[in-house]
Amino acid sequence: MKTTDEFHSYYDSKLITDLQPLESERKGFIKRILRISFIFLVIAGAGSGIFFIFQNKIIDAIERMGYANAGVSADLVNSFTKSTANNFADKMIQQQVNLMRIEARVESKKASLTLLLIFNILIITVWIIVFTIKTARFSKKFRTKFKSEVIQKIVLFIDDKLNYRPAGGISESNFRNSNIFLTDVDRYKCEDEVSGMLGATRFEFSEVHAEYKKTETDSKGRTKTRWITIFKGLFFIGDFNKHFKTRTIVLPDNLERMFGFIGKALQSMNVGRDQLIKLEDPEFEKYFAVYGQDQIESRYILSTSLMKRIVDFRQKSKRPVSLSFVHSKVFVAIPVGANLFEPRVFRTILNFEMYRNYFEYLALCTGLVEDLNLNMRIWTKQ
Amino acid sequence: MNPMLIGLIAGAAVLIILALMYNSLVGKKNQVDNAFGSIDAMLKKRYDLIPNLIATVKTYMQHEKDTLTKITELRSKAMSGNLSNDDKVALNNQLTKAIGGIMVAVESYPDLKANQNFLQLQGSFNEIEEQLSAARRAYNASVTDYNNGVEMFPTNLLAGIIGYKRRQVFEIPEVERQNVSAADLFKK
Repeated sequence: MKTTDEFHSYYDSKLITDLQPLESERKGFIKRILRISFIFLVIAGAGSGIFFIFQNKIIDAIERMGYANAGVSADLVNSFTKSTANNFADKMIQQQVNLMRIEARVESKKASLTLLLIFNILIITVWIIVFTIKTARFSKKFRTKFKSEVIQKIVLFIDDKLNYRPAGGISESNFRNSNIFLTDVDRYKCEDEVSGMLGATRFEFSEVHAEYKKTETDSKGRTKTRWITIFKGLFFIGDFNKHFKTRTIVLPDNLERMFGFIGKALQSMNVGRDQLIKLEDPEFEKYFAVYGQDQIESRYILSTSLMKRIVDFRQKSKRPVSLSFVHSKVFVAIPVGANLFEPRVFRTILNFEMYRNYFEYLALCTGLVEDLNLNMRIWTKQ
Repeated sequence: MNPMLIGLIAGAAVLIILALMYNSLVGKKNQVDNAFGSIDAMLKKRYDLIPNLIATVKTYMQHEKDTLTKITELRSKAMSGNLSNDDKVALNNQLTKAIGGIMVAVESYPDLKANQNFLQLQGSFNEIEEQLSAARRAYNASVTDYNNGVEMFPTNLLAGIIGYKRRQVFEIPEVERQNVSAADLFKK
C-alpha cells in the first residue's frame, strides 16, 4: 500500500509535469474571460462617458418630449418667459410658468439618469450571462480532461491493476441492497468509480449522492420542494471472505454514546431494523450499534479480529462510517461532505494539498481490502 | 368508593408489573437454553466432519496415529448422548485441542498440505470452528443478559423468589489452541 510520502515524491517527480499543460489551459481560459469582461467594462464606461458629455442635450430632448406628451407647446412656453410682463396678472402667470419649467427640468434630469442606469444594468446582465455560459462550458471540458488524465494517474499509482471510470459508479440497486439507509431514494447521482481485484477480492467504490424529496404546502396552498441528503460520500462494495445467509448492519452508535445503557435499551426498540446484537468488544460497541437477522451468524461475521479492524478503520478515517454484510458482500459507507476529484477553474491546480486529499481518500477505500483482511481465505469461500 | 378504586388500580398495576418481570426472566432463561442448543447443533456438524478428516489424513500422517485414535474415541464419547452439559463441554474442548494439534502437525507433511481434499476440509474445519466460536459468544451474551436480569434491581427480587440463579459464561478454548501450537513448535 502506497504511503502519502511516496505519493508526495511521485507528485514532485512526475505528476506536477503532467499538470503543467492543464494549468496553462486553465490560465488561458482565465485570460480570455478577463478580456471579455474588460470589453464589457469598456462598453459600459464608454456609454456612460458619452452620456455625460451629451447630458444636457439629452435632457433637452426629454424635456421636449415631455411637453409634447402633455400637449403643451414648448415654443409657446419659451416665448412666454422671454416676453416682458407688465401687469400683475401677466407677472403671476410668468411665475407659474417658471415654476413649471423648473419642475419639468428636474423630472427630465431624473429620467435621463434612469436611462443611464437601465443601460448599465443591461450591459451587466449580458456580461453575467456570457460569463456564466462560458465558464460552465469550459468547466465541463476541463473537468473531464482533468479526471481522465490526472485522477486516472493517481489511481494507477496506487495500484496499476485498478480501473477508473469518471462517469461510472455504484448502481442505485446495489446502494439500496446494502440496507444501510432505509429511506427511499428520489434522486441518485454517482461518479468517479474505481474497481478491480486485489488478491482474491473483487471490489468497487465510487462517489454517491442520494437524496429524498420533501414537498411542503404552506397555509396559502403554495408547494415548496426541498431535497434532503440521505448519503453523500464514498460507497464501497467488496467480496466478503465468508459465506453467510442473513444480513448484518453496523451503524454509527449515537444513542449509547449519549445515554449509556438507557441508550442501549432505546436502540433495541429501533423500529424497521433487525434485532440488536450486543457484542463484547467495548471499543467497537462505543462506536457502533449492530442489527442482524441471526445472533450467531452476525457474530460469525464480526469475529473479534474483524471488530478490532473495523475500529481501527473508523479511527483512521475519522468519519462516522457504516457497514453492512449482505449476500456474501461487505458494503462500507464513508460520508464525505465535499464533492471530491473536482478541479476548480478559478484557482490554481498546482496545489499539492488538493492531490494529497484525493490520494488519501482513494487509498482509504482501496486500503479497505487490506484493513478488513478480506484476502484471508481460510474458510470455505475462495 | 374512592380508596377502594385506588386500591384496585394499584393492585392491578402491581400485578401487571410482576407479570412483565416474570415473563422477561423466563424469556431470558429460555434464550440461554436456545443458545446452548445452537452450540449443540454446531458441535454435531463438527462430529460429521471428523470421519472425513481421519480418512484423508490417515495414510499420510503415520506419526500421528495416536492423536487420530484419540480423536475418534473422543468423538464417540461425545456423541453417546448420556452426558451432562459440563462433561459435554469438557470433551469437546479436548476434541478442539486434538484437532488443532493435527492441523499444526500438517505443516510437516508438504504432500498433504497441497492436497485439494485436505485443503477443502481444512476450510470447512476453520469455518465450523469460527461458527462454534460465534455460537459460544452468542451463548455468553444471552447468559450475561440473563445474569443481568437475575442480579439487577428490581427483577432480582422476583428471581430470588422463583429460584433463578446466576449462570456461568463459556471459556473460549481458542486460547488453548494457541498454546498447543506454541508447545508443538518448541517440541519439534
